[in-house]
Amino acid sequence: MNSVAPHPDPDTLLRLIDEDLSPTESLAIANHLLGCGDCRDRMDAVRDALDGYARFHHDILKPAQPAPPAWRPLQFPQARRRTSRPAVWMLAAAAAIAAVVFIVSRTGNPSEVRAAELLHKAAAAEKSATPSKRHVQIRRRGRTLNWPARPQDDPALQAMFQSTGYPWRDPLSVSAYEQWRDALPKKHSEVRVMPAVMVVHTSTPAGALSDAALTLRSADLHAIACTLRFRSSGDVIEMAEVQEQPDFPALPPRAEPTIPHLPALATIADELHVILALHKIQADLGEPIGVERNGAHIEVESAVLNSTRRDQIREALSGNPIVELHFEGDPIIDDGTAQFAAADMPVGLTDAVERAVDRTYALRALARRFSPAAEAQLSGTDVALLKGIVRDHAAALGDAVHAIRRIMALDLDPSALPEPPSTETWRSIAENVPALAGQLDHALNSKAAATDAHDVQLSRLLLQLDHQARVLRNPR
Amino acid sequence: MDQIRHQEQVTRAYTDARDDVYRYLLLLGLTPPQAEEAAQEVFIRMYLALEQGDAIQNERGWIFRVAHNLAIDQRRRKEPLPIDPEMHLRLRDTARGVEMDLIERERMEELAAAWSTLSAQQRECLHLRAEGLRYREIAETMGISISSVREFLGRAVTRLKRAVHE
Repeated sequence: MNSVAPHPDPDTLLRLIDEDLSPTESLAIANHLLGCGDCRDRMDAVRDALDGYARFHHDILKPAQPAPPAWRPLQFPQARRRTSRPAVWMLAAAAAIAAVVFIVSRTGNPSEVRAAELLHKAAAAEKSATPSKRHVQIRRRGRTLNWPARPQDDPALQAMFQSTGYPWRDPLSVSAYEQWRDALPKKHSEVRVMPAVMVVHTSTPAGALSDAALTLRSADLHAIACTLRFRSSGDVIEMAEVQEQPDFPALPPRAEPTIPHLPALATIADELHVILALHKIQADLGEPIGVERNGAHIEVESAVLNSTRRDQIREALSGNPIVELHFEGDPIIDDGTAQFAAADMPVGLTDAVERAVDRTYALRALARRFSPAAEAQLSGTDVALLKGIVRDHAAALGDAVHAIRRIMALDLDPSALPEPPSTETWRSIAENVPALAGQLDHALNSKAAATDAHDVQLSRLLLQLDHQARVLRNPR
Repeated sequence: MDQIRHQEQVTRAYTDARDDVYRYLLLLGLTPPQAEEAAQEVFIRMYLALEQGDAIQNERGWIFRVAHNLAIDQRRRKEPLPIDPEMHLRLRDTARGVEMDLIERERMEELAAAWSTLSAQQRECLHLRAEGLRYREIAETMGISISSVREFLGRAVTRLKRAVHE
């Protein structure tokens, strides 16, 4: 039975070691391992790597970063205690509105008065405006929630939002901001006036949130964005109105914008264009470069140190105004020996295997980044661009497999391999190819004990990879 | 009464975890003085959170998450300190290195070379895992999904594996 069960990929073996699998999954893999010596070897290799890193972490990294010889004792501040629970605040909110407005008018603090007056006007404008369906995107460092909520939304993020006491009913509105602000026993507000927008910023010494900033469009005092910051953790929640949602009919395009252009949230298409720019310089093959949407920007963080490579990355992304590029560490001046983005055929076996492995991981990363739901948000042109990247990786994977066959002088018989189902999508293939490449890597590492059976296994793996690469050249 | 209890709890956590938090902050690119100050700030925030009645379910996870957020804020303001790319050279000079046998030292050099090619996020995942955090806690600390943690760790281990077996 074990011989026909699929071989777990290295990531699954890692998750087994780290107890990240469900009991059912763990049991299935454990049963497979009992009957599969190859997988037991692979499991040992993962364990060796983890054990090696643990020793490196404790024996090398930690001593290399000595802690301060003497820590200062903590100076505990006088903490303000909550006088009431958030739920009570909410009940008291209506009464507090009147009281706070009264206090503001008595204190004569110009910034408070100005903020209160502005919010009062904006609330009146909001009430008199024609009701329309609004869609709000709520983000917290990479996790997204929609308002109105959708089934696929992250329930933990919604629970976290609601735990702040900030009103969930129409959260990106002047009335919600006023409700939160007016319930604060102490606060300080400021209004910043910018060319197209006005921002009301309120900070408070008590409560779950330390401060919140509401952005109003100057033209009609419409709330277009809001930022909330947690006091204890410093986490930030961003809210922004989104014009168009894939689950709803698209709004008709306006001939002439009636308001000045405001930065919108970066989209999955923007993310694709950044990935494509990096792909063109082959910077999507495992180099330490992270790409993430963050509000109106695409953040690209890189630990690449070589100065020439940094210039190439800078150049590749220079035409995209929404990219925020950060490099970690001081650059190392290129002495001309480093090579990047080699597009020619691999020269040796190790090189060829590395290239195959890198391409399979790049394909899987692409499949995961651009899920079917994400792809649905792309235009036809962008989908074609995405599939173009898939084709490039597939072609390079095929080249690497061909090079391995040539170097190993293996005759491959395609009839030895059953045809895989034709219904496979490029994503399902991309999910599986790293496991195949991992097995190939492992099989080649064991080549000292090469036998005919070993060659048969190698041939089979190469055929499978070659076939998958060919299917991926026409991704569906 | 609660105030004293909270101060004792935080002081205990500070004594136990401050060195680990400090090193984590260095990994995230803070300079030693910044890391020392930020490490203190983490525990002050913990005290304030307890005083405000916040329930901290997983103390160690919470501490690393707040440290992560503080480091991100700091890094937005200033250029981070480079992570030492010449770690493998320095290995030869460490006191512990002298005691290592030749094979182990070579292995550590290979691992250091592989480590230096990892992305910042892969390193951070490995670091937090080695500090005893589970995948869910790593995801919460870094503000990423659990599947991203699996991806980062998977790729990192693939590279380390090659280093160990070469």
